[in-house]
Amino acid sequence: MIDVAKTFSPHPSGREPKDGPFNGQKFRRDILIPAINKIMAGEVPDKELIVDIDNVRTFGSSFLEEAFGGLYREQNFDASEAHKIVKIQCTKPRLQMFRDAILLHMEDAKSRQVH
Amino acid sequence: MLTELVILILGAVGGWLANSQASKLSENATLIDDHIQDMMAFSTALEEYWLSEPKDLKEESIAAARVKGKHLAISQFYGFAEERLPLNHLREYQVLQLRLFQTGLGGKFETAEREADPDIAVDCVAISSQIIQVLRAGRREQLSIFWQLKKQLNPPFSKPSH
Repeated sequence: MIDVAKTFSPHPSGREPKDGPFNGQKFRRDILIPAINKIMAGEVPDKELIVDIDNVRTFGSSFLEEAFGGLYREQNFDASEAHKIVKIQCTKPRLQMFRDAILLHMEDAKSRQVH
Repeated sequence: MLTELVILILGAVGGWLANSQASKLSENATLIDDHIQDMMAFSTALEEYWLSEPKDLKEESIAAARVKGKHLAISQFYGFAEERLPLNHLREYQVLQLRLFQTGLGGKFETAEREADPDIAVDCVAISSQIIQVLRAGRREQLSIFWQLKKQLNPPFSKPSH
């Protein structure tokens, strides 16, 4: 499981490293993809990756698009498989909009993946 | 005697249910009203943000924080929208809110490359207006049901027939 606030930051922002230290590209490359790859390679017993967003204060759509929608931009990475593995955990009503936005970005990544 | 008592209890329970439903409808209408005010403030914040040009990343972070701060009230209501909006307006509301989030807080939002973009400013105001229309329609429906219920609970005083 990835607890975004604890593992990364409660204040994620921006797209790329030049936008700040806790940007979407960094989250995707350093945290999300390695965790997905471990599951795909069978290195861990889990079949799905829970991404818990409960303790994050708020998100910008630019961060979410880069972190989750950006999966299709990765070379040698199957975004449609990632779509099946990643589950978003969110119990706080104030964060439900971000959960819905992540699901939209993941769906978009799946449909835009070029094989 | 027993039948009268049962009728009395059923009547009281029915009255209580109708009263609590009326209170909920009235509260929802007030919460929708508050949300419309929040939407107006958020729309203005987005417009100002996309019409301004930051000098550096620090200025951009400050401007983005203002928008994200206003957005907190919006995302709070979104989480309770299922309880507060009539079902026929809910889906349209959710789709428009996600579109506004992607338009206003997406693209180059909160990035070092962000520049003033009047087109995005206009898009944000247009989507916000659509959301406000949906909310007003939802509020009207809630109030219409509320007044119908009130009428049934407190029928207008009628003149005794002679």
